[in-house]
Amino acid sequence: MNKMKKYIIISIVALSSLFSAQAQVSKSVTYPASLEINQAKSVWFNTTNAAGMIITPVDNFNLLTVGYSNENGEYKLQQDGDSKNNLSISTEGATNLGEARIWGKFQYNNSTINGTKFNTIMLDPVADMPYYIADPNKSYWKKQSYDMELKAATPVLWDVVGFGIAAKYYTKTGAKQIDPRCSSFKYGISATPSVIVKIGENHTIGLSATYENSFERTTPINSDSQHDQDAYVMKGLGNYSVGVVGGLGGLSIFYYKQNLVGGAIQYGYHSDFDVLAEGNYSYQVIDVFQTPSKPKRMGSTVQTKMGGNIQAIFNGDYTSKVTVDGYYKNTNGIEFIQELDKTYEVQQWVTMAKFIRSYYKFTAASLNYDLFKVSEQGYDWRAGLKATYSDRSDEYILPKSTLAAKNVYAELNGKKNFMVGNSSVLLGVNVGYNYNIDGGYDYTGANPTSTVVKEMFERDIAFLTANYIQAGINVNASFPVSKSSALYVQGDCQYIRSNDHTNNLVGMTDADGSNFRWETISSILQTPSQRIFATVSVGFTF
Amino acid sequence: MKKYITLFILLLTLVSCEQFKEVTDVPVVANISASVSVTSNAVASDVPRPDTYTVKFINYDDNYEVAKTTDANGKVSVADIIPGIYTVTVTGDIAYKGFTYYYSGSIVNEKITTSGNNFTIDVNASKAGDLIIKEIYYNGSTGYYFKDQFYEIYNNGEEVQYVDGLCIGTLLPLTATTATYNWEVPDGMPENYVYFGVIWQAPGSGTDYPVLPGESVIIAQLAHNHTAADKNPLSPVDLSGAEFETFIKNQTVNADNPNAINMEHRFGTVYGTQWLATVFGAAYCIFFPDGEIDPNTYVQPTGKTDKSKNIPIDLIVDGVELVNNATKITYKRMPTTLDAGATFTGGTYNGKSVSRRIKETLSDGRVIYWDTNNSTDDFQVNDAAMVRRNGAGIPSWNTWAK
Repeated sequence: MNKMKKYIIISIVALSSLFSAQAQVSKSVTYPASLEINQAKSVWFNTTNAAGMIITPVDNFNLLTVGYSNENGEYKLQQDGDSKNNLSISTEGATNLGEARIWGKFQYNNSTINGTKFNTIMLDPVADMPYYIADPNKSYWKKQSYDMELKAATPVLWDVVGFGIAAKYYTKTGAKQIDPRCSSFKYGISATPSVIVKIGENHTIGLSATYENSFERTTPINSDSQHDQDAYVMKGLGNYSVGVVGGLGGLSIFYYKQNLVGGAIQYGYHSDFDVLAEGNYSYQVIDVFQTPSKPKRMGSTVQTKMGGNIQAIFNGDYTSKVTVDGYYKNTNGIEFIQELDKTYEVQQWVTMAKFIRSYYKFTAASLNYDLFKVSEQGYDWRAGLKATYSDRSDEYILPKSTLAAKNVYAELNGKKNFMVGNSSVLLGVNVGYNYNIDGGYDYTGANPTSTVVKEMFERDIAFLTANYIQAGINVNASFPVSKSSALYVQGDCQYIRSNDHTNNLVGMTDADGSNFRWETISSILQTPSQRIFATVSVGFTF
Repeated sequence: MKKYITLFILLLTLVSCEQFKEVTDVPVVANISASVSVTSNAVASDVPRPDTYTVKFINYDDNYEVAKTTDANGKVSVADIIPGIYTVTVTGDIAYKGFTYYYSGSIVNEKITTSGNNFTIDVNASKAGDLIIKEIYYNGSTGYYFKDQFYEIYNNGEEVQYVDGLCIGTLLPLTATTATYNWEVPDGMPENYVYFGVIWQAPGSGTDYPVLPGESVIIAQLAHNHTAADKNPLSPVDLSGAEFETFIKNQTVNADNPNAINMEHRFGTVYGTQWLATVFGAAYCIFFPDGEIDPNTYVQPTGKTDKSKNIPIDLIVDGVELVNNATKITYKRMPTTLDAGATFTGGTYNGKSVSRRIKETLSDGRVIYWDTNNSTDDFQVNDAAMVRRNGAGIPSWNTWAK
């Protein structure tokens, strides 16, 4: 890991130096508003096709940012923390490399998540990965991550064809800090080679292919070896088998192996206005095992994802952009029936049968409209409209359990760029409302009164099906410190409040303090649940 | 360098192809059917049979259980089985001439993944009234204290029992494990034995130590008051009144309780200065041997150096399988005819014990405990171990118990 850190630091220095050296040709300050509109106009940059970056290039820029964020409040999934603090350092830039274009980004995160439950081992718990260890103890996690991304595009060769590649690499470490605890690490790498073909002056078609691989390994342990900790080996939608962390024969190392292949096609029209359409498809398999020295399959997920988006941008003094995005993904949860082959000197788990036991389906669509009043420093103001639709529909087949949540969210947002001398103060506000159309959780498994069902899934469904209002304010003050560089300070605060009954349970105990349990409050006026997200960051553009 | 990168990419592609192949054409799970035919060939013909039996299909992985009753011919079918690994248990009982006969049989770790399987399960009968292992305290207590382990043997029947010559021991492997133990026995029929790692035997001429119905004897690792300040005040038990102790001779670390009768160490290696049975859950059996136990003869599993005394299953009076936790129930060491299930406290050094559940309390206050040869059903977990729980009687010859 030390070696890895060394390489990462060298990469950051090299990346910054490269961009900095190239940036000497740029003589103007990069204002935040110009960065935003620049990236909005770079329609190919927002696709998986890096080669297209040469058609609608991002202007040269370099950023170095240090940020701190905090979020807290009870409006959350149970696996999320009551509060979360994150320190981040990131650098990002785009420049020419000869006639080619290159863009890169690096980010380091160091976070502490307090008050998490029902996740003993996973660095990034997600709804469509049902195979993990959970425990009911309130705990906190410490995590670190290093993320690197790169996109490069050749010039258009012979005025016809261009090539590109996008690559990502990340490594994460983390540890749960209360028994049963764990230490986990994860790495991931992806490569997306791409090609574009120009047809005449206005038309471009593109093709990209993606390969992604990741590996996560996590070791459940106890600090107090005298007390084994009960745990749940999760299978989906509240179904689980019992397990124990600690002692002889307790749960062992879990590891996740992921491979993904995908592809996308693009079509772009570039004239007075730009239109770009992309359709994409990916196929992913994640295998979950326990005990590397005698691997036992804990489950697999197979995910197919297909989607598409259209971006249209109309340039002028008033530049407007419309983005329509949609995707559908289906994840099959596969469980294996395994038997230990006890043949002397063989001793391995043999798969006797396997079945699809659960489905996790998710559909999402969004519409974004942004209008910019263009100015020399990017824009004078912008106004936006956002609408999203999401539909989650999960099913555990036998014994049948279902979880569904269908929501629409609409938001208005706007920003005004105040120029004070050479300094820019970009002030933005947003307000939105989420309306739950439908949803619910129906469990008919073996443990209807279990902690997992009552305290995790029944609470999570309340969160997932709640109506809420979201409002936020953000400000970015940018002060030029030389001809080509500026110091900026940025703050963002978002407030989410739900008046639904997301916390209509209260912890109760017997008179002697034993038998802690949750009971429903039916008659008391509900306290609204809320969550606040706040971020401050300082940085340089150069 | 380019060569290595190309090779690396090729390797990843191959690995992903293999991974993708594993998950193609996987069927969607659906309910399947199975049937059971119960036979009782091993039971003497003059012993009455129950009219029906209760058949349970238990899938420990899914925590899923289906229970049905057989027809008069001992047959039953179920149609709502989820594919998986099952333990199928058969139980039944019948009262006859003042005694209750318990029938039990089972198959374990049976793969049921397709419809139409028929299983024939032969049940055995046992007459209530034998000595039973009533309580086992093996966990130890806070502070890594394990000298307070004890075993309670109870007379669950109607007639006086004598514990003279009674043996208690733990089976190999020591803990429930996935490791393979293929025993090599002279008659080539390893399924007819259980394999002891350690055996202790009570002394006596045959009638020295009677135990009346409702009475019990305590076999302590060390017959001390373990709650005393110089022992472990956090221990739940005072064992100074125990009838027997497994005292190790020729050592001075642990004092001998002159009241308690010392058990004789008959077989196996006991390390240290006391008989420490694993706190992670051993498999215990009690039996009366059909002769002297020769410590110099033993059997071994293929490829291993463990030494074991093989005792015929027919001699076993009672057995209880203890495992670390629920995940280990399927790694049984004990034949299902002795114990079709397993029990556990789920931790170590927590002062907890396992004890039999009460079946009924007679008008004279005597308690009858469940003994269906399935410790999953028969036993309960207690937050604190207790000597002679539920008012078990003390044998008259024990004059030192308070």
